[in-house]
Amino acid sequence: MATDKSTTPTWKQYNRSWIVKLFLAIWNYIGGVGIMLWGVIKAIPKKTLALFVGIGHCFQGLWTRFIRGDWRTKLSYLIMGFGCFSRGPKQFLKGFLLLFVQALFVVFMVFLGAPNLAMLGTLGKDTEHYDDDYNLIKGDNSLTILIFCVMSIILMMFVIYVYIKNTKIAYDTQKRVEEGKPLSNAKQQLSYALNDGYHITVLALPVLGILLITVLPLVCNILVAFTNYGYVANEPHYPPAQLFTWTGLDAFRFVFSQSYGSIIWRVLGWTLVWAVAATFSNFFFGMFLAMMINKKSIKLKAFWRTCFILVIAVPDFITLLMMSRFFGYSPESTLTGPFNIIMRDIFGLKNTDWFGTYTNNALRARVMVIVVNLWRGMPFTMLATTGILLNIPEDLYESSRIDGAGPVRRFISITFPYIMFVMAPQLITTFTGNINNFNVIYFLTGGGPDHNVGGTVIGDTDLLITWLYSLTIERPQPEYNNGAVIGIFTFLITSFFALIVFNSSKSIKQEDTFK
Amino acid sequence: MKKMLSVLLASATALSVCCGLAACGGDSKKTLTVWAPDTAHECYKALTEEFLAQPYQDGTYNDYFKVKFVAKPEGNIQTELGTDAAAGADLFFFEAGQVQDMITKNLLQPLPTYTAAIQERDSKDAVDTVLKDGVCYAFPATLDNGWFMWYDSDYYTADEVLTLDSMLAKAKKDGKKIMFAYNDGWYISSFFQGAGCTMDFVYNEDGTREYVTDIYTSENGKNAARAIQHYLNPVTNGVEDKAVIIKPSSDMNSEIPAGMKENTIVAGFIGTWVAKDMPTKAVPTKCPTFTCGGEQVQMGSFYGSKYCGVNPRRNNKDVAAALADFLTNEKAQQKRFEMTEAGPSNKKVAESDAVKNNKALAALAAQREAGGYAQLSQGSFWEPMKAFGDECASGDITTENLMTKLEDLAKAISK
Repeated sequence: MATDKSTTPTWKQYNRSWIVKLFLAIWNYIGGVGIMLWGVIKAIPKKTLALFVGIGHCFQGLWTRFIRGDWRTKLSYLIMGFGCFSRGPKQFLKGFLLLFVQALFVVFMVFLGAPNLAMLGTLGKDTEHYDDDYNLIKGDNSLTILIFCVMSIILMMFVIYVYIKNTKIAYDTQKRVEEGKPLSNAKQQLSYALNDGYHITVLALPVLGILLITVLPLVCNILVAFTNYGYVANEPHYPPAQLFTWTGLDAFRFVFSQSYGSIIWRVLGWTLVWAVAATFSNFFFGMFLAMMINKKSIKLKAFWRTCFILVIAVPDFITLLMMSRFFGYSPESTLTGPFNIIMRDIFGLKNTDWFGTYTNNALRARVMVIVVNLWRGMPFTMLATTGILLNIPEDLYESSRIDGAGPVRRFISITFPYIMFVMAPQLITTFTGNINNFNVIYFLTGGGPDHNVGGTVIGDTDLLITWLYSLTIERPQPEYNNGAVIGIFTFLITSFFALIVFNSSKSIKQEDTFK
Repeated sequence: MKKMLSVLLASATALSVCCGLAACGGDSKKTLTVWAPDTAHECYKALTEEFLAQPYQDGTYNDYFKVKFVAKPEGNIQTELGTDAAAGADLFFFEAGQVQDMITKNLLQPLPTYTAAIQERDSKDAVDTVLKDGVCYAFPATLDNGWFMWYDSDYYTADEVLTLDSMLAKAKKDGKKIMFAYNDGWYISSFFQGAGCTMDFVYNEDGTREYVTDIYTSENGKNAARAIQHYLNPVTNGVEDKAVIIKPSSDMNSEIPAGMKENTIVAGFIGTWVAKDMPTKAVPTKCPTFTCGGEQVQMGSFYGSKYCGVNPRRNNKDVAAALADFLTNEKAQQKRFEMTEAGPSNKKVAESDAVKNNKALAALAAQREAGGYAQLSQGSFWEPMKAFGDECASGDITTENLMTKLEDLAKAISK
């Protein structure tokens, strides 16, 4: 008897072990995240050292090539491309291309780069003002100074790379000549660019584009956090009318410890609660919906799916604005929202403030935005899951049935792992997307109900992103510097979650297994 | 955000290059852009035609300029202009609350040559707001931005609407509603104004300005806060459907006239702009008094002008200023009053019989006389005031925490 019990666990034991397993899994997950983080931190000194060693090698090469080079190579340290075009018409194209880069850079630096870089320390001296005849005299614009400085620095880095490459090319050409090997002609150089070096040709423009369109605004945005671009201590600092300047970590202090210190954690807390609730409610309800529609006994499958997909077909802000009006409320019974009127006329329900924005009810507002978001977001998961469900091999279910598995066990052991495997990356993007889910909050409650917490007004459903919006766009005196701090903070949080979850999700680790 | 911005910027640049190229092929007339609310377009377009027919250099303005009208509400001009003023309109109509911010951001061209004429022809209340160091920064176009009370004359007698307490007592008994936008700083600060609080900028001797408010430090402010809490709290005012003083749920401009017609709303606090939607039984009058520290005190309300400003960052400022002058002179204000019932800031037009017989404008003037408070321009004023009203009505602010919350309010609006 005793041996029997230990080999075939009773339902209770089986169930308990399942819960234990779950906790173990969560524990392992947290542990795994910790180990990963530790790995990242441990790697920092090593990688930094490697970076400096790399830079050192670069300059060492630069120096050796200069020492060993002949006069042509040496002169190409001053005039880019000289080592090429001075060696005959075959190398003209390459040489003049390098010279062209240098010429462009010099023109840019003389007219835009240098004058702006000279003012980087103060971000401008002359303030815009009216002269005695009341004509507006233009002053320095701190914002354009900042942008051009960053642009110059990015271009400088690019040109330094080309410069080092240029010395290398000059030295290599010199060596080829010394060894008596023939030099490549323009046609061969072009064919290199289109064949072996094709990746460089194709990527050059996009990389430059990314540097200017993505990196430049991002860096400027980050730098604004270290300035007083905003309304600081009752003083406006808005270019072009006024200048702004570097203030170090003042904006960070303002956001994290002084004025906003009491509310930023409160906003962050709700942002995370919202992101978790919105993501998982959408995921699970969408999945169950797909499974329900997928059941053999359900008729008119296409019809049901279409019904839900219709929600996707209408633009977000229209459905959201409509929802906020639909659930509208006024104590005056004829002015209240349509939902309340319908409920009253048909079911005799009490006129209710569903969104809680009229009566300042935080709980109602928070629950309602999650519910409306569920209605809006569920169809996306349903669509994705439907495809996965159709792909799960039927024989898995058959064999599990033969082994006596019930529907719950089949879901836990077959369906859910399959779905999770495919959906995990999407779940991550949805989660990070929800942290920044501006539309749902802004159009439904506008961040409200508002409260004055120790001298700062904040809404109960305000996310970091809607708060940032009200600080920078809605205020007559926008606080761009504090907004930038919140932007950086949001970026750190989203990237933290994205990286960790992305790295530890199965579908990334076992990329090749799912075929 | 920034990424989007650059993409937008890039496409805008590309577009403007295209437009520029397209414009090269067109005629050589320069375009003046005017931002004005769409209700006033008809009037101003007619006036602009007259203006363009006037002589200029060798011919008329028509030979050199054309004028383009763009519909923009007056309430948000400084934000719209602030993003890229040089690309904005040449002249624009805006309301008083933005004046100070627009002056600090150099968005208003000072008008030394017109200052004397403006002071001569327009009401002092309108001119003072845009006067800095003896120079006017904008042309007053109307003096009608303010609010008062409309009441149902079938329900209330003229005596009953003298005090808020008697109005509330009667409405509560009959289950009627009074709409008052307590979720809007423009209205809820009425109590502080009535009590005589300071809430605006003062100029120091060196010309810098400083925001000063005594709503927390003075006994008047404390009494006003107690009054707000008293009138709005759930026990005296009623909860949800039982509430007597209700706020608009989305758009008070339609809700007050609609409620008045339905006989559910018996009084509403709003301005002249709903006059044409109001039923005939709705009578405009000055606001009632309220109990403040045991005394009856007149409810205050903001008054402000709407102005026409000239963009200092555009070329052709002189012509734009001449046009702005033409669109805000006596004749123009007379015309705008006739066409849209806009209250004039011009002294002569205001004295005319037609204006004096306009009931809504008369009520506005009476209210300005009794409890007017010049439109202030503190940007951080509105959000905390709104929260204060809402929190009083929801019961989050009680008699116990009122003073802490009032201190928070004072702190937030002084930022």
